[in-house]
Amino acid sequence: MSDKCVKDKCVKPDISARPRPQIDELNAPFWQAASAPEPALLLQRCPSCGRLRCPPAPACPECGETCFSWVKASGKAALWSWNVFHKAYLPGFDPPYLTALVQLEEGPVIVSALPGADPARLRLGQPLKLAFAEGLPVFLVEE
Amino acid sequence: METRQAALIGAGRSDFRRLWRERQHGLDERALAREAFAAALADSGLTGRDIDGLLVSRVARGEELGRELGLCPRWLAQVDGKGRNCGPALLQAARAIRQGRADTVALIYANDGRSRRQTYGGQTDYASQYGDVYGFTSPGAWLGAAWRRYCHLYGADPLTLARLAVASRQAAALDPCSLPLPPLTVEDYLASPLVTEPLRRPDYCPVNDGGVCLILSCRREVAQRPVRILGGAWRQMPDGLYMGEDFFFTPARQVRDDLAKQGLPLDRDSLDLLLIYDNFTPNVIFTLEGFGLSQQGAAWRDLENNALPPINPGGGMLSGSYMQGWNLLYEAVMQLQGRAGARQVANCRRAAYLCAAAKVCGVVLAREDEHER
Repeated sequence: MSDKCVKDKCVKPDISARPRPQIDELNAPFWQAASAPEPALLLQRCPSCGRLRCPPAPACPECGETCFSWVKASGKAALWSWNVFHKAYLPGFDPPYLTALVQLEEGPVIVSALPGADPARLRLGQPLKLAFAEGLPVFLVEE
Repeated sequence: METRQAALIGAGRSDFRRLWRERQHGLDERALAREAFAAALADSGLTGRDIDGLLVSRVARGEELGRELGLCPRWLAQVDGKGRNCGPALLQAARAIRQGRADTVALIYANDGRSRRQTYGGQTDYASQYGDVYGFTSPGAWLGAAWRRYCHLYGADPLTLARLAVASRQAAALDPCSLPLPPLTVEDYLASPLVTEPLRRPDYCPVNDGGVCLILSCRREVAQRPVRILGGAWRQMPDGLYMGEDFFFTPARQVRDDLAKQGLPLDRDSLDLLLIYDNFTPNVIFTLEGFGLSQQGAAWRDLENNALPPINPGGGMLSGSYMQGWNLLYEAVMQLQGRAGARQVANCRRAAYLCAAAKVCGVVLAREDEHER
């Protein structure tokens, strides 16, 4: 086990080994939008109560309505919290690495990444801006 | 008082310490389940013939387990072994007894996760994909992120977690069956490996092997020192963040309100003991606040000021034994029966089992001679 960890440190993480989206009828528009030439982060809007949800879910957590429409996120967000992973739970990630919980301007809090950010300089609530990398929505720290 | 009100009249568990030391003990889940059942049955003074209900948690094929144990239940329930189901399972069995479906139920839980090298986090599935793709996984990561935010919102001392871990380790030392973990100081804690920062290794439960069995019955004539289930309630968390944006506060308040309607206040004067589902250190804080034992944002200070009833005298799940809640119920029985030895809480008459997880649950238990408060 420890041998493997030492070895992994010497090589770049194999990004292709990372878990991939599990695409089905419900979430296909979400993932396709994220990897489109002009990418977007999509939220579901509930026609009954107006609640916006993300990531995709079959029913509105507020009222149970299963109908929905897709809307584009503005891209403005704030840092809700963050973790630094020191343990290699998943293939293709090289600890230590940073993950973030991001609150979209529209309300939902989602898991994401902050490419290029220094964990030591992060502040809770700081403004973030949507970007895309490897077909995933990510967020950049606004300077 | 209702005549069919359920009471715990027997409890058994593995010697977690021995199982931890004897790594090659060779007991699988079913063997651990049988061992715990035998211990609980002996403790109750009953025989297998008296058991007419069976609830099996985590162990696969509960029906077969019942046959292996020579039981002929007329009520049988199989419960998913996830920790969040422990309290609801106890309430389900109590309800079955109240409804006359069984008189005496054996509730059996066993776990050979350490032998099988079970870990939590890193499993990928449809529901977890939106975190997995970023390398975000495990309940500990959610609670670590929540704790970071909590500290920011309420100015909490991050060393609170170190103190919780140390206290849990000290408490476990008073239980002869607890895991043989080395003593821990705040300095040791700070030198321990980070897992999902801000959480460190001692903020997590070690995964260990063992079993717990409880005997629940309405048959007062056979009971030596019955522990009554005064009531309980639970709520499932809605879709979204693991702990919600308010760290379980809303569903825990719903459970608190439901218990109040049952005449069961959750406050410091009404409870002599708290059994808190301590799957991760920050959850102790969130549980205290959600269930209203502390004001929002104040639990970390209340702990520092010793302003709360005793919590997890056997070291809980963090240091005692990670039996996904069941060891906490076992501890409730021992404490309320006055049999907890060196860790006995003085004059322990009423206790609450409180769990903040994907199902938020509260159960109030009491000694037979405990009256309204």
